[in-house]
Amino acid sequence: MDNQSHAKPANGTGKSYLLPMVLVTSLFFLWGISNNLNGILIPHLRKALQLTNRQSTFVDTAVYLAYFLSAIPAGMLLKRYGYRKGIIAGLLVFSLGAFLFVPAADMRRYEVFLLGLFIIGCGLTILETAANPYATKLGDPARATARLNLAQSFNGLAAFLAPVIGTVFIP
Amino acid sequence: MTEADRLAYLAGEASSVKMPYMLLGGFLLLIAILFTVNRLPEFSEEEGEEGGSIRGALRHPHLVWAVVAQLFYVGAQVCVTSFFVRAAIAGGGVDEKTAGYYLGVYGLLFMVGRFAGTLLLSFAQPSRLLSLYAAACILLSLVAVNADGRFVVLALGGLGFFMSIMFPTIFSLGIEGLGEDTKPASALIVMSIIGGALFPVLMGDIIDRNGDNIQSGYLVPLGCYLVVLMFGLYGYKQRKTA
Repeated sequence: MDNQSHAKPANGTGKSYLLPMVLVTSLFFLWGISNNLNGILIPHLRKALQLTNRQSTFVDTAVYLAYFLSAIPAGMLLKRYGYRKGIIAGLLVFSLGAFLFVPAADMRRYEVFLLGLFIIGCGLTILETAANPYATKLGDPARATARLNLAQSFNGLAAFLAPVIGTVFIP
Repeated sequence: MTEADRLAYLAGEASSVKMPYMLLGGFLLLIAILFTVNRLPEFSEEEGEEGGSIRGALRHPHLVWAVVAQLFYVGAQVCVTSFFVRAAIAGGGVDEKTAGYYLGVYGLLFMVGRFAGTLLLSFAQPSRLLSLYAAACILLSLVAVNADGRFVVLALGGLGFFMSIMFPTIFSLGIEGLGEDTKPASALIVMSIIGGALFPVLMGDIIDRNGDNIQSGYLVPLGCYLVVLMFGLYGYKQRKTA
């Protein structure tokens, strides 16, 4: 169900950017949750999977390697399909990676966790590549930096909530 | 504890991570549906973004600087966050759950810093604020390396506060004035997040080589903040190119 062809062109003339800004800000929050669960996940997996110190940092490596490898494809994807479809694709990839934690935990296999984290990282790349410039464009160009910082504040809110949510599940 | 008991315990520890990620995956699907049913403004090629390229973006020295600064910044942030729980357990002498709450407080300071930064950026020059915060992070890293355990946790909290505006500020300073090259430029800055894959491994190695001394590892973020400071003082400036 794609109504994009019927959508009015966004020309910034008095059109309200509230709903788009709320939805885009929710993305900053959700990727903040994922990124900030890693601080709980790393020491926890180190214990549960009996990893060495060095191995435990591979959680970060999987996520951020995904950022690196998918940055250019993500840029191309957005150039071709635009911000909106790119954001939807990013969300679907991100959720696939999150759901992969179920078989990973059942098998107690670090490689499967790392694969899930890598896929999450690919989804996050698409979202961040789209959402950062998208947030700067949703209004007055002179306020772009302040607006981006506001959206990123909700990333910060996730930085507080994610570890607290994470500790609830630590037995 | 028998081998079977040990395996059962480890299996329990492993399966405790399932629920938060299942909830996260569910929320992501929900938001994807909201994006599908709502018509959002699309900023498309007719707004002058056609013809943008990575090569075009790289012709702007301040963008190259921003990519490098973001590489080091993300490295520092991931190092500080990923080793926070371990530093709190080692320095503060608390258990995993309590250390997790401390990580939440660290995140809270991060959030407070973002809100304060958003206010300050309404009138302060972004590059000036960035330089000031980078200098504060350098001092706090020195505390994290050298001070007693309890002060280490406090220093890490301070780092959370002062790091909070760095990512968005480096990002917007970097894409400023890029015009049609804004999308490839933002892809380049996002790519610099590879710093998060490299610096924690380096920090882990340093900690291993220093007999599991977590504090020694904070030399890594210290070096990273120096690069951010250089960007805030000099690198952010837009220059004319040939």
